[in-house]
Amino acid sequence: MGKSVEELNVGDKASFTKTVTEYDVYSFAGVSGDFNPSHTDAQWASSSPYGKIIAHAVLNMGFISNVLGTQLPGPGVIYVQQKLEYKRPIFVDDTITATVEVTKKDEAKNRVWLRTWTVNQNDEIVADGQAIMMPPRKNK
Amino acid sequence: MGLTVEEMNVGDSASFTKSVTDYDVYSMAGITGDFNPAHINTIYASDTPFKERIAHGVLSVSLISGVLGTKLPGTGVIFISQVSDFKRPVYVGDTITATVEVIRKDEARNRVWLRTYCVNQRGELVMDGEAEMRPPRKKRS
Repeated sequence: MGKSVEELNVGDKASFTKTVTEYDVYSFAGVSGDFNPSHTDAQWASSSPYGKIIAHAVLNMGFISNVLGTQLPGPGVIYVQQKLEYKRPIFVDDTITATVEVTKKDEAKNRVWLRTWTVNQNDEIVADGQAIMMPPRKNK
Repeated sequence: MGLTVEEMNVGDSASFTKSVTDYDVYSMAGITGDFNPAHINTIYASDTPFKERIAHGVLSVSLISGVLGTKLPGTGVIFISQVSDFKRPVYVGDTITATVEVIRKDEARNRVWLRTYCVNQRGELVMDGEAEMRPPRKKRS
């Protein structure tokens, strides 16, 4: 079971890092139906501004959701809202680190606010935003 | 190539419908590393308020991404930002319709804002949000 609102404190942080592969991009296309050629057509992508295939931007949210749902607050949490700004593309073979950090909490309403962001292997911000979560109640 | 900001109008909408299967939930866990037991542990899930495994919230957002990236605005669009409010869980077997609708545009800045939402087979809102997108500049042959 994850942390309750009482157990969470402003400044608490957790992260997850993964190298993005073609498997991820093509699987994500298969699950979402998002076969935008910028993700699945190398020929098309070669003449796009990025010059090669990029991953789906929503993949950033997937990594953030991972940290929120498995580490901080962790299992039992309910996802209320996610805001995310996309700053840079993710390319195949980029190593992405998703981090969440508690910025505010409201024990009476059982809500926690976290800054949520991803960086690549060059420490460049890829996506930046905020999540509102309902942490699990104690003694479940 | 997708629609330019000049070709899009407030009220334009597009949708995509998909039935969610175990394949989708387990693939999403594998791609994102999100092995929260609410998604991949039937025994754990039976003891939660939802009573059974639920799909990742991000799955609904990914269906929206498909509509934005392939239909409206379509190919060549750049994602600027998204807000997603998760209203109800998505269960395996649910049929989800993701819809995007243009609510505002700014031709000078080449930006378009769309309401983005998903409903299940009962017409219940499961996700509601907004996307800010940069449409493609012009047709590319």
